[in-house]
Amino acid sequence: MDGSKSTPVQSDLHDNPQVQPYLDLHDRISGSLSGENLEWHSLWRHGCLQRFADQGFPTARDENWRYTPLRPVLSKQFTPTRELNAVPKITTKPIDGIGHSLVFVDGVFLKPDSADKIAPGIRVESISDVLNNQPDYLRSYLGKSSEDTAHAFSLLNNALYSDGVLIEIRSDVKSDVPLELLFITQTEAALILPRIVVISRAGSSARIIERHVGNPDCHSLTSGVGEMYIEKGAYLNYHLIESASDSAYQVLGNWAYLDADSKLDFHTTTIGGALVRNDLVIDLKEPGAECNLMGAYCLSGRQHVDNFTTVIHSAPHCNSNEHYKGVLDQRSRAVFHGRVRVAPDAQQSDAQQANNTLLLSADAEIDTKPQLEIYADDVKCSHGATVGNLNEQAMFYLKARGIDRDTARSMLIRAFVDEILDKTEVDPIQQHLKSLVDEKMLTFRKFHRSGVSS
Amino acid sequence: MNEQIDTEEHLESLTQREYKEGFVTDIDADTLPPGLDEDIIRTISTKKEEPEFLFEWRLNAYRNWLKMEEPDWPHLHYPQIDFQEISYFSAPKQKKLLDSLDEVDPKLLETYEKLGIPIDEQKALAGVKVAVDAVFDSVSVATTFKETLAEAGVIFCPLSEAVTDYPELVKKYLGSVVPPGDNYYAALNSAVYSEGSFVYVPKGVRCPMELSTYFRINAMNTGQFERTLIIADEDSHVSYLEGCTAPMRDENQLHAAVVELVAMKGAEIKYSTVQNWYPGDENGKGGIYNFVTKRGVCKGEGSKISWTQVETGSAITWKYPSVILEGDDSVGEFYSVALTGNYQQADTGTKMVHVGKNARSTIISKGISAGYGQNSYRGLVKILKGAENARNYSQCDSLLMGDKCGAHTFPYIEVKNPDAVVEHEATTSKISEDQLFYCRQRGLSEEDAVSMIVNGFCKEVFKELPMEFAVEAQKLLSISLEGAVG
Repeated sequence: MDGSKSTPVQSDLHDNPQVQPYLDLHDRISGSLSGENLEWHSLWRHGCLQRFADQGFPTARDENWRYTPLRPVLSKQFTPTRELNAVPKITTKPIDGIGHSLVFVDGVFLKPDSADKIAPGIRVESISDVLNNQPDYLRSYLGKSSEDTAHAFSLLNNALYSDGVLIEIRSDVKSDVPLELLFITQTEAALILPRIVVISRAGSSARIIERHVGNPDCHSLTSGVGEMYIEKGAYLNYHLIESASDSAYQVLGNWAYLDADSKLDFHTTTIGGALVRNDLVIDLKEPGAECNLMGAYCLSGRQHVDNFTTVIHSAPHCNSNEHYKGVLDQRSRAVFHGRVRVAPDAQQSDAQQANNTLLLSADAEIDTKPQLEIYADDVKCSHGATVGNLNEQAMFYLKARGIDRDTARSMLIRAFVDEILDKTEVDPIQQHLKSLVDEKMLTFRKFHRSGVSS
Repeated sequence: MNEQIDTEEHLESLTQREYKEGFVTDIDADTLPPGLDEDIIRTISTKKEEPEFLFEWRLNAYRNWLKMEEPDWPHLHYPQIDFQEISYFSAPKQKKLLDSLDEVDPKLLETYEKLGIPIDEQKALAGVKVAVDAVFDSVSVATTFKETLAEAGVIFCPLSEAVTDYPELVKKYLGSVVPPGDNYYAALNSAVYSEGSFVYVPKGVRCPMELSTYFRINAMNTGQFERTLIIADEDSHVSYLEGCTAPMRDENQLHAAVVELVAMKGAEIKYSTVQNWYPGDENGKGGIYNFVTKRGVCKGEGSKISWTQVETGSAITWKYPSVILEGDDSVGEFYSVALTGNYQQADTGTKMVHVGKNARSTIISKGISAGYGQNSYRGLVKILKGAENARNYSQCDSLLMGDKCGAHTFPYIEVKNPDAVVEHEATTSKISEDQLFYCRQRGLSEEDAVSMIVNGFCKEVFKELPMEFAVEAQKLLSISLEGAVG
């Protein structure tokens, strides 16, 4: 096992200045990474590092990254914070009505003082503790993300993550109270590698919020990996709320595997971040599995958000439904990539997908790429995409009733986004998301288009 | 459940059709040895008595091609093509110039007759006048109705003739829409293209008849590299038909064509294709690799380009007829039916690039997959920043027949202008039991019912085809549906 560790990783891209610092970083910190004393874990880490070294970061020639230039990210140096049990320097307004918050400062998990506040039946433990106490427990759960849908950032996380959190929801849990994972980013140029493993045991039901907030002027890089295993008949409701500062770079990959008759509702709301890339890979592994992916994005300034989703219908009788809506102002840019793959023999699949975007500014841009790959015949699949500006008739209607332009515009934007936000079943989360959108709209430019104003 | 078995058997039989145009015409051909280098290009150029500028142009394209890589992004699987094994020029040995069809080798004419386009009957068809510029392998054999066209001022001739007679026009427009270095196959075509058609419609002229070219690959191991250039000057109108067939052979043959359309202010070009190249046998052996670059540019205000295609043949189809909407108020249209049966693969679609203001584009694509066929729609709708009030509507429907085939959609939508209204819809489904039941209940046979449903599925596209072509397209589809459960 030590043999694998002592082999230095060679980069085929010797002169690649983007990859080398991370290889050096690995050499420096590999001693302190969790699971290095476990053969399977160490081999896996090393394999990911080698793959990362071999392939390097994606370029514009890479089909999956063609609309997301990485130059701003790759031109900076990021290092992981060494401070353990750091104190959050920024105060974050809690979301009302949620259960416990697990706090991560610059990616470092602050172990909860006492576990009693967490709903009974939900196990929350740091991955390093699990690896120490039950060496093989995570063997079949860690690292699915390194399979063929992996890209440089998830490989980087696999190779360099220092610790993470395991959330295991036992079978008898039926919890409506959300558990929050709060990621606070506060150190300039921090490299943050969050790692989350969620196991929803058969028949369980739970809600999780993953919320990112950050110091306004903090140029950090978050490269997160989440792996979710939803067993037979289980239900998981997951909210990813990206409200980090507009200078943060975030590449978050989530992989979910659904067993028979299980269900996943995954909501992604993107408000903050300079460059955000969300990879979401859902594998409907067994018959009767269902997933609903809901996305909302409101961007201004020079923000760039890339939602890259893949839904794989591996088994018959599965349903997937995907709907992303967004509003772009100023020079912001959004990318939507929705891939649905229906495997041979996955008959009776129902896959629906839609992406709607409002372009409010002449400098904003949307690139949308819905894709269907269908290898079975008895299926119902469809996708739709629309791009447009606010409906002028609707504007006229409101103005004719004495509502001023800016208010009318806000009302229409909110109505547009609310279609997604209203799908959130938990009221406090919904209120929180709506207030985020309202706040965001304050940064939108006031009336600047002559076409709409009278 | 008997019903269901019937349906399956029926669908199975749909995928097994024979290629009706698979005969070889035994004619002496003047063919270059296989291989490609600068000498071959010089030989082609010399054989065609081309001016120096064209030779340079070819050479430039060839050098570009050498530096390029074969694209691997399409959703297609085929063995590596050895470009040195292909012969790049094949001409029927019959060099003298022809004034009328009577002088053409009767064997050639017979071939066309078998194809169902008897040239010598064309003249008699006074009601539906269609001028045919037939490209047999690489040399244009006969051009009919030249005189009637000449009266109207329309130039319709083989490209090689245009090079001699109208060098200025050729020099100005050849490669202006699809530059020699545009993509791998376009570069290859530019280097070695041996023949093609040239059309020029002068200002204000409405072309008095529909123009048509019939392409046919005959000789063994030859690739066909033709090039079509159509220029519609201000306020003119032209409708162009293209049909393709090839004999049955075990080897795969390459067809890499380039089509360029230029529409000036107020002009309209309608380009219709019925592509029925040999698709390979039921085991996926043989068949044509159809790698085609088609692009039109709406240069002037209010111009319009409309592509209609019915793709039923070829082992592999790779083509994206596109429109660059440069002029304000210009219109681009794309109507397509693509059928893949047996082991056929198609990766086809369109690109609509909005540059000018108030331009509109429509995309209607219907894909039918049967047997082991893989059918992909790949399209791009791009709205540039200055393209105010752009409007696009895209609809891509796929019909699956059988559980071993695939239907895929890869649309790309890039919008940089907030005034744009872009809509895209795609659906995938199979012929529903309900639909079949309904028809069967009313006394239709299974075969007729399927044929009717498929025709209904394609109707929106067929209605865009000129009359003669619509008939041919429906016939082609019914050949595909032939031999169903009786």
